[in-house]
Amino acid sequence: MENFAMLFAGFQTVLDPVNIGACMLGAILGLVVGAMPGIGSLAGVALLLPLTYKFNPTTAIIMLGALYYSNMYGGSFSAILLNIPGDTPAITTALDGYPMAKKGRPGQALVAANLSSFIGGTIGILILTITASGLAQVGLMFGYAEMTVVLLIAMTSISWLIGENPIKGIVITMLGILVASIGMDTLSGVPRYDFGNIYLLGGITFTPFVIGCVGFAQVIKLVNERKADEEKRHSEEQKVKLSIRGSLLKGHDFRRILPPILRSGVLGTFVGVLPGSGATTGSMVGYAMQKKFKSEEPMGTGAIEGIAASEAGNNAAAAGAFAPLLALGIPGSGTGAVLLGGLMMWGLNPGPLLFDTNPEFCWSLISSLYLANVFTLLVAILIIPVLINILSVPVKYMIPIITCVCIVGAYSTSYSMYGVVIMFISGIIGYLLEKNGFPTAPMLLAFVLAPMLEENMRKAFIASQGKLGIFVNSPLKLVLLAIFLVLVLTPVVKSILRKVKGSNTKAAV
Amino acid sequence: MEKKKLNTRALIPVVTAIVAIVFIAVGMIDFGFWDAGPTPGFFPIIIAVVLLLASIASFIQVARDKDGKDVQYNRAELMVILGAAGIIIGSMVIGLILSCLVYLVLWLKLVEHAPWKHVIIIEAILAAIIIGVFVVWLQVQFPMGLFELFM
Repeated sequence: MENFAMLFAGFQTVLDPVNIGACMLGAILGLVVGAMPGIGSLAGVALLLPLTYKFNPTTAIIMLGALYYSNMYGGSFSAILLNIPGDTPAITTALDGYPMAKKGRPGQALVAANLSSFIGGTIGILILTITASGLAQVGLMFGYAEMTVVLLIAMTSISWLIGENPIKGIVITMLGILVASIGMDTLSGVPRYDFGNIYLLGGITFTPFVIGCVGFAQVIKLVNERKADEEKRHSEEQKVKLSIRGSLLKGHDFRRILPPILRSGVLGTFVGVLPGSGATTGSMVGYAMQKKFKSEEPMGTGAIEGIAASEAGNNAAAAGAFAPLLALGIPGSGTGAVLLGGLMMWGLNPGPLLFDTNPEFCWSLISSLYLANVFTLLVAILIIPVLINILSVPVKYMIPIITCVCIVGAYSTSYSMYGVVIMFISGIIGYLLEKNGFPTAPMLLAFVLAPMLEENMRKAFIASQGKLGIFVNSPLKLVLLAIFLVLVLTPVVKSILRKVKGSNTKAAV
Repeated sequence: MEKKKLNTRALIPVVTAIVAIVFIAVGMIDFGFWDAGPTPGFFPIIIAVVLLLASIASFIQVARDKDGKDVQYNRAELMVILGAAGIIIGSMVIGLILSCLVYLVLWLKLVEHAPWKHVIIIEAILAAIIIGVFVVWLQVQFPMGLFELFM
């Protein structure tokens, strides 16, 4: 009950006209950018990050939360209408959304996706409201050594889960940590790795780095999609006219989508809480579970249950990911890492103490998610008649526009061409890495978490006078260490087993 | 589009290994590792050692993978990079906003062969975003290049 009282207090802050305006603006912009095919939530949030600089910290964070949250809605639009998922969590939405649109029900598919996102998200935010402060209480039991291992688990799990190659995951994670260690040492104040460059004394600025790594790198990749985009645009299927009235769901449709929404909503939230999983896993797990239940039409052929399961899972996971982010300071995904960086930029350090030191901020953010959820649903439904026009901006025109926004955005966050240069270089590096199979999301996560990891690790060693035993001298530490080792060793064991199996098959032949 | 072959699959681990070696060397020489407690070099050196080992493992993986396809790059990707570089250089001469707007016209006409109607509409939208959002709302003062001399 105490949580709901705090939530109510949070609503009192959020329901200020400026905060409502910021939340609505975040919802609209996040939705539109998320709907653009090929941009995705990670790049979307990164590109819109400079806009939050205008506000005071609370308003900025409310807008940031709305941006992040509404981005999750937007990905399904192009998945349903163009068969181009706006983001990876929308891949499973396209499996049934596009066939349903082809069956002549694009409007209903969109409304089903929006409603599922809304209800799934609401379930996620409700569970977040109940559990977040409890999770923070658990976090308070963590000392330097425990936090070190928890941070290692967070970094390892995302680099292990994204991509198929754990070695590349380690390379990219370590690179992110090293980039973050450039500049002033937070514990001693000693400048390090500046290589005599005055600009590097302040370190690599977060926002230009993120805009480059995901925004500009995405534009360079996007250039290859121009031809496919043109071809898709010329196909007959897209010449659809949508209206709100023609898109409304019937009672029967609603009865079909409700059970998968509730199942995926609960499951997705718990998936989102796990470090490294995030919205993509949420939508995939939700969709996979729906396959085990009966659907009126076969899954993959335009079953409305498939859209509901995928979208509810995706948005619930996005909400669930806030629990470890706020309570432990551990983001569950690349987008979460950008959000965490944004929070830190405003001087807030998410972690177990945040609920004690800044309760008004925590509860304002959580209550703003409820508000953002409602706004986004409203905007998502109202936007339906003009959605085709938004989605019809050709990729070839988006390339120079986003390039300019990246440059202008990078400048505006640093008030210096140094920020633009950082954006440019990190964009090229991000593009080269992605092109060669090194995912950049773990690098962002490592970049954001590195200062915290270093601080905790060094303090643990100072406290123990250099003894490694500090990491194994309690049952809690042993459990955490066991989880870390399982995460590290599982892919290695899997790879050995695959090789053994392969050589046995060859010998049998 | 003409495609060029360039094997960066092996080059990336080599570069990351060099980065790791630089961080280890600079860390050891300038900041040390341990002095009655962890020094500023302690953490980056540990991370750089792990990076070095992982880079070597990644290089071996690429060398052993004879069936792996080389990564392909094309001219259009380079054009995007050159375009952004052009804006950065141009900002020193004609300022950042004007550079962006000139780049937009050049890209749309020369690369995309867009009709003038589209160019004007997109140019107006971008100008509205930059001036409306960044200059008026966020009150960012963008570099004016050589024009600053006359102001």
